[in-house]
Amino acid sequence: MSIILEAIRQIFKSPITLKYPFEKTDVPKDFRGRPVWNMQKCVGCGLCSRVCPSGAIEMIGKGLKAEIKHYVDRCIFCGQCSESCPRNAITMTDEFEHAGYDREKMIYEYRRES
Amino acid sequence: MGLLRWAQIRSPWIIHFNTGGCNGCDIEVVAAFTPRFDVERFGILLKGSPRHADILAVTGPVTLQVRDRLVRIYEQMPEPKYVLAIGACACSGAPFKDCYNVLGGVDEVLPVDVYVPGCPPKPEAIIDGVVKLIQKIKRGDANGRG
Amino acid sequence: MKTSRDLIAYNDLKKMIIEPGFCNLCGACEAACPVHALKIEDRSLKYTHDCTNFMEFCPICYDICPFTEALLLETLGFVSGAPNRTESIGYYRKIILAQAVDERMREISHSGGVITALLMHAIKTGFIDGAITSESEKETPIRIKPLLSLVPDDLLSAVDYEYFPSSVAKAFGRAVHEYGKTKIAFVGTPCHVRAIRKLEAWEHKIMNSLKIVIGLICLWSFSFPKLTKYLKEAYNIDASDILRIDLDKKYDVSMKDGRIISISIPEIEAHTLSVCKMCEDFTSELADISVGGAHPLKDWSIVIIRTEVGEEIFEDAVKANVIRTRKIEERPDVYAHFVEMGLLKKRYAAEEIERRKRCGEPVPPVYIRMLELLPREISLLSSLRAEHIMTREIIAVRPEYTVEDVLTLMTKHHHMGYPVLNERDELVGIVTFDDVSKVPASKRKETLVKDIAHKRLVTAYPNESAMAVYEKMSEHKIGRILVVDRRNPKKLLGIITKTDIMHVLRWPMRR
Repeated sequence: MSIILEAIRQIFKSPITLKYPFEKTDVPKDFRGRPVWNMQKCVGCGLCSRVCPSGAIEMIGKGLKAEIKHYVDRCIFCGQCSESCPRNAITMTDEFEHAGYDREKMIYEYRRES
Repeated sequence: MGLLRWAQIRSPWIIHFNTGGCNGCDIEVVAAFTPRFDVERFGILLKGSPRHADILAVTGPVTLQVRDRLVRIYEQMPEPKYVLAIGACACSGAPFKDCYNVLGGVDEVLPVDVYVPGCPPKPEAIIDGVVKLIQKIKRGDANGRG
Repeated sequence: MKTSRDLIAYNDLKKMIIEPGFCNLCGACEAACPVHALKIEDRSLKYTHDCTNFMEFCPICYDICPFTEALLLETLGFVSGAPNRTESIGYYRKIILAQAVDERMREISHSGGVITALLMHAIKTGFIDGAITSESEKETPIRIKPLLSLVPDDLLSAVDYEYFPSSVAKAFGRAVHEYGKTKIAFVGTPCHVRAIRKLEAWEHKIMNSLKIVIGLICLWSFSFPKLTKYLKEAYNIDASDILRIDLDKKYDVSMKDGRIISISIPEIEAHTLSVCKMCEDFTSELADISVGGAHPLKDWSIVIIRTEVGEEIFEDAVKANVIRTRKIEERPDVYAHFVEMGLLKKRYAAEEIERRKRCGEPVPPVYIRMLELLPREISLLSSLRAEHIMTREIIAVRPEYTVEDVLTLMTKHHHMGYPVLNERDELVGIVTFDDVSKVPASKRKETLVKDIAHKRLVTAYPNESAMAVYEKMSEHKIGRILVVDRRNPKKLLGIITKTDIMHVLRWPMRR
């Protein structure tokens, strides 16, 4: 009976559908989207690459000349890399729309400007 | 073919199959059907039989045990058919890639049209993936041709 | 000084700092290590597991150790925004005398009680949520260990001196990781302050939790085994019977049974920590606030405020009537004693470094770095001229002034040397703090400047390069050089001091 009452009540309310992709809302606070590396701060210690559970981070080179490759199709967005970085060089942004046709394009490379 | 493609674009029907995952992505797929995100606006229906479906939405890293069942479901779908890999496990196997019982990613077995990374991807991200798949069907270069 | 660095900092740290015995157990490396490979245990630094299992390259423990050459000029950036700078005090905004209004705090701390009062007020108002200081060990009161205070009453057990090593930087790391505090006040000796500033300059993530740094005015720390052995042999006292040690003009060792034994500074200097012998930072030049005893006054402390954060917290405490202040100009004798101690420390440091270099003994990289310039610094100084970096507003004295007048002037303006100009405004000499302090207190009203001033001057011309000026100052071992007109060498145009040169070296690196 209460279901029918609830259904009648909802007739007079506006729909709650979020018409994505035509309407978008903000993500919740502390949302873990794609991580980005700040190469000015990165010292190339390799902790993020060692600690990543799915091996989504590859470090090319050693030390201050190291470059980072991040595979989004393997990333599980856990935030462990950001937490382990001793200099807070990795921030989790709020990007979550990563759908694509080609896995080769889902790789982000971070190089240093010399 | 024009009518068929028009029908698939305006109302693609999905069959969802979990190949050994943790059910996180499955919950998000089901959440996409709830009134808040309402994927049925696009005419999408969640069917129970592969013989009624256009799109196969796969979650989970493909385990060795489920591989043959997955292929059979795919073969039971009528053409033209498309495959949507949802979640990091379905895209590449994610943390389970080197496990003894896991193949790692749907594209070891089936040709995939759209990958949706995330763990789990938000329902909005899944809808984004579906929208991209529909655009691909419109363009006519989807490769899901068994 | 090493020119190439090992991929793993610990190898360098071991070779340059731990093996020669330059570790002061501050624990900054333990707080900073991302894989927790270093641990201070039983008063020594232990390497608990091989960090190369986790990382291929890591510069952290070497870079942030206070006795290595890395990041030194960057650490100056935290205080170099201050409007004043002198050789004796460093960069500062204000120097005053202060004491806690509450008598209890003054009694506990045996001097002004300023740090206790300041931090208690700061915790009460929520400006900070934790404070790292040091407290005495129960059995041996002169030995100290770090104390994390979370409520105001915890601070009543904090001590005002740190004559032995205390692992305060390690406690800071624990406060961040284990207690999760986010607004921490840090109190430590100049080397501890340097370690914390290096961590901040390196942008380590635990530094997001640091709110304010308070430095102590420190002459030396002692090596516990060496000093206790000496006290046993020379005076037959056990370390556990000592209640406290105070430093005025001598070290006064107060025993539990009431006796007080005085030890002179040269006598005790042999038993200081080896790194302390070479340190020339007397006033914690990198802290937000520096605090020390205002001898010969028993109840007052000297407070040097260097940054805006320090000013904010201090003014807040003064307004809330927790601290009262007095101008330091009222007590030139306090200022003279303070500057004398600082010069003493610098003199001992220079002598020890010279001696070690002569005998081929190792010197910590930080002191070598402070004496030598990097190639890019040399090229920067060579590209600038004396007229670009000199100070044109000069405070000068007349030959007829008394030594007492000069001392009053020094207490007001805090410079260490003043040019002497005659009635025609011609340059006739220079008088420095060294000259003033040699005059005994009883004769200061009678002796005139013209009796003690140096007549032979080392000068520079406005178009000489800054590098030439620096070399002249190093060659003659002077702290300031007078810039005169080439055509009229008696016309004074400006002054360049050593601190001016150091300030210039930071130009490319403004924060």
